[in-house]
Amino acid sequence: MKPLLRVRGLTKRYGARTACEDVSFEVRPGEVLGIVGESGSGKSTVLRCVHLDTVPDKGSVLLDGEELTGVDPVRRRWLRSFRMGIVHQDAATGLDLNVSAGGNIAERLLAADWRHVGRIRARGTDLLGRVEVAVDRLDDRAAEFSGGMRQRLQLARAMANEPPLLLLDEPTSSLDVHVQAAILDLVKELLAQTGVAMVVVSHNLGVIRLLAHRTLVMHRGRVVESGITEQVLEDPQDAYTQLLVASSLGV
Amino acid sequence: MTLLSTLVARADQRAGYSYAFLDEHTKRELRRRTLKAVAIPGHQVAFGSREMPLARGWGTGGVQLTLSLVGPGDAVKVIDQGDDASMNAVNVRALVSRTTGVRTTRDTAEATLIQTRHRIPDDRLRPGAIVVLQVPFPEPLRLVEPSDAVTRRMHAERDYAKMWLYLYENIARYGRIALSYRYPCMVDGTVLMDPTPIPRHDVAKLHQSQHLHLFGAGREQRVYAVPPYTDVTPLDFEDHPFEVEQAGAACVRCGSDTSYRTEIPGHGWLCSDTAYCDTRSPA
Repeated sequence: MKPLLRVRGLTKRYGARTACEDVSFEVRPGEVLGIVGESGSGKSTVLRCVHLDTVPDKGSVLLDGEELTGVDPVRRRWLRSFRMGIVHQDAATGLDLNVSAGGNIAERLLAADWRHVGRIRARGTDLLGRVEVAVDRLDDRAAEFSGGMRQRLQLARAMANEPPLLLLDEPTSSLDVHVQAAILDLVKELLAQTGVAMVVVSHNLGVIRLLAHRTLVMHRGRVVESGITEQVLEDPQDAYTQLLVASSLGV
Repeated sequence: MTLLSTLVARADQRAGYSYAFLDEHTKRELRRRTLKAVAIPGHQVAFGSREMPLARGWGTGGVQLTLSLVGPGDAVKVIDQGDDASMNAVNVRALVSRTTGVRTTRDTAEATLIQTRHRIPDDRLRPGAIVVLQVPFPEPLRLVEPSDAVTRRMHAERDYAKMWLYLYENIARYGRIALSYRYPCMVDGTVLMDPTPIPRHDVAKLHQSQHLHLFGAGREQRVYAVPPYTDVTPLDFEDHPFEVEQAGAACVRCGSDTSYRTEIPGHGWLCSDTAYCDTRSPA
């Protein structure tokens, strides 16, 4: 199968510091790629480059054959609406907390020129159902939602225009353990239903183990190991990966 | 006698003031900005707003436009909320006539240049007449975005999802779009524009109007325009179409049922455009 996302030689420096260097990977439709590493390892920078929040110094990001680095702002907005969705660690970044849950979803649909309130609300209701939020909360402000509910809402919003690629940046890191488990279950279910491709960034090996088919391990901006998740976590070859696996709590 | 010498001669009569109060350089700058505004319908063009002998917020933008445009052959009408006799309208009219000597009128059909606050006259305008609107807030996106840098980017990218979201939230919360004035409109299908606090009844008049409408914001230092025969489309939804206000009854004075009317408690509904009402009422 042709890769949906192809990243080649991605390098990003902030002044003298190198955030990531020569990172390459591919994601196929329906596949989940995990990127794991400690804080500051450059995994979020990679995601920011893919989501076009920042422009890499070198390298290319191809989505469905289209080069994403250096697109103009109008195209970038279109790509973010239709070709990818993102779930941030901090819901306040991904949502407008002063707007209703339905409004947060509607914003994506309105950007896609939906001009029928009834149909927008029907779609919002449908999406809330799919992320297992009570549909009678459609008109409640996002600020009134709990942490777990906000992550569900971010997922619903990210999926509003059915993009082929979802980016999850530490999607469960700010949640307590059993809410984490529920969200991860939900993501797995959505994955099975929709066949969307995902890139999941996490420092939590448990999250990676549960979701990712393949995993990249990043350390100091470089990819130190990559492969099938089971293999990487059960039989780590690189010294840093061994340390990472050894120091994680049992899952 | 050339036009310039006519103006200089008139200015001399006016006790040291330039013709139309503003100096020639300022008027020329404003006309250039106005031309740019006409060339890009709905787009806000910055101009160097001058101190005027009236307080900001009292129509300094509109009066600067009027003064930059008014020529010796014009007939100027000034209204405030549809009324020629309100204090603000009287004072603006006095400023224009005392610094130019041009004729002023209350008759909409006679006026060639109409400065207005919060209304567009209900009467048919004279062909070629220009309407100058006073603008308190030129930025339609201010409602949803406090930063000027961001609203400029949003205009450049035609990124109006936040404004649409505002309308969606209105419907979700109140069951309808609860905007009674400053109703956001797309101009020529490209630029989002604040039509100033005119009622929705008047917003509808902007669409494919045969007249040039100019918008001047003195405090915010912006001028924008809707040229004649331009599409002005209020934002609405297929299942919540844009609607103009419905008055409760015909005008108790002139009987009009098409004008914009407001309710005076204890007296019923009256035309807000007093000149229009007067022409239709027995004296």
